[in-house]
Amino acid sequence: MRDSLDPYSRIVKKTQDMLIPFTVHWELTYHCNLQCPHCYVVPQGSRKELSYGEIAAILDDLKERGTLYVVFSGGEILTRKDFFDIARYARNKGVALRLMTNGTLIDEAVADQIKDLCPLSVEVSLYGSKPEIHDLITACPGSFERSLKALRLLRERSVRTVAKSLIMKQNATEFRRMKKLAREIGSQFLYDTVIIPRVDGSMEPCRNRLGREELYSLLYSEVQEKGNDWDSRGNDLSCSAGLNAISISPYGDVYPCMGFTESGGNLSKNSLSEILHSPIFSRIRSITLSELRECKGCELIQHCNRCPALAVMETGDLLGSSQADCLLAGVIRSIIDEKRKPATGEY
Amino acid sequence: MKIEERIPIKSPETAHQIIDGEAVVITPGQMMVHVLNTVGSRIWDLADGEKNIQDIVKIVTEEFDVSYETAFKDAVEFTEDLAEKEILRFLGEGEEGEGG
Repeated sequence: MRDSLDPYSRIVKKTQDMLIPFTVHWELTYHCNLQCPHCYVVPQGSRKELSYGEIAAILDDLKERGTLYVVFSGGEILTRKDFFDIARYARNKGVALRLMTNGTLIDEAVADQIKDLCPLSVEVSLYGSKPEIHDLITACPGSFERSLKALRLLRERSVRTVAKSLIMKQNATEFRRMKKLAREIGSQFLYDTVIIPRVDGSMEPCRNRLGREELYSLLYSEVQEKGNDWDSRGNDLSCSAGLNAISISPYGDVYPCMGFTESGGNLSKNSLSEILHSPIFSRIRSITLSELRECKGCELIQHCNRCPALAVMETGDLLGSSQADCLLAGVIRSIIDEKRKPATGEY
Repeated sequence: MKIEERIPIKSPETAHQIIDGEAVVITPGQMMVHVLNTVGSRIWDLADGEKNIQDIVKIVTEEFDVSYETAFKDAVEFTEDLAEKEILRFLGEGEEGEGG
């Protein structure tokens, strides 16, 4: 059979088949200068975050094993005094970086240092188009202006930026204005509507999730604009977690993705190879559609971004279905059905 | 400088990895992803800022079934093409203050 994949897709497939950690999401710290109520992170006070030396050694190992992309996130990455030492070390090894930050600690000098890293992109949190909303969510007066300034400083230096938002009850009415604001400052705008529970299992942040009606009105024009792109998943509910993507916590715990609470091991005690073959990683990789009792016959599959981590957090069952994913898929389906309805004739 | 003495080095702006003998090179500025063929990937890997074209061609002819002449011609064309795409450069060339 002829290989129909383009060269890059073929490489990605190879990294999945060979269990190469091609993409690493690395939470460098759980410390943050903001106090967003939707945040899933819970610092574990008694545990020590990885040092620069430990991180450098792990980066050496990851590079040897085939890692190309590292996403540094937090907490707030810039609260680490050694952040640029870590990032420069990664870049000197030829790692492609994406940075996730709230932007509030980025001034001219920091923006210059970020530009020198040549990151693929810098994603800055944005929760509103005005301080009244954004600062209310971050519980930090002045954070809106500082985040916006960060986006501008980075754009002035030709750094690719993404204004990244989580749409929830508090800022749903801001959606269109945030998109417009991002466009005006030359940033891409990305958003999510699924709030995940805290890593300690608390469902408290999920109280801010949008309900069905709110999601419907938020996504209506989005789905209408993108048309058939929303239908592109077919029957594929697979996920790259644990295949060619891993997540590392500030303490060195390694998860199939940041949403999981069960780790495959800790890099100060276990080798990456041991972790990649740990029970949780092996189990995630072995899941087949036929095992997903509630999902396998579901008519919403093609609109669903099933997240196994979310299923575990919400139901305790890796094979279960997540309420948030089901709701979102249902809303998308309703909008598409509405769009496909033939125009009604005049009576 | 003679062509065979030019020393290629990966551009520091690039991100790169070799997967099962194939190099994936990203130029963040242009957000371009390049996947190099097997011989090209080996040349890319050897472009460490120490070996010149002649050194690289010698290694390539030892590892692949190719004549010196063919490997030399291909290596020159290949490295110049990558230099044009700004994913590698030649030491001492096109840099202010270097090479007198």
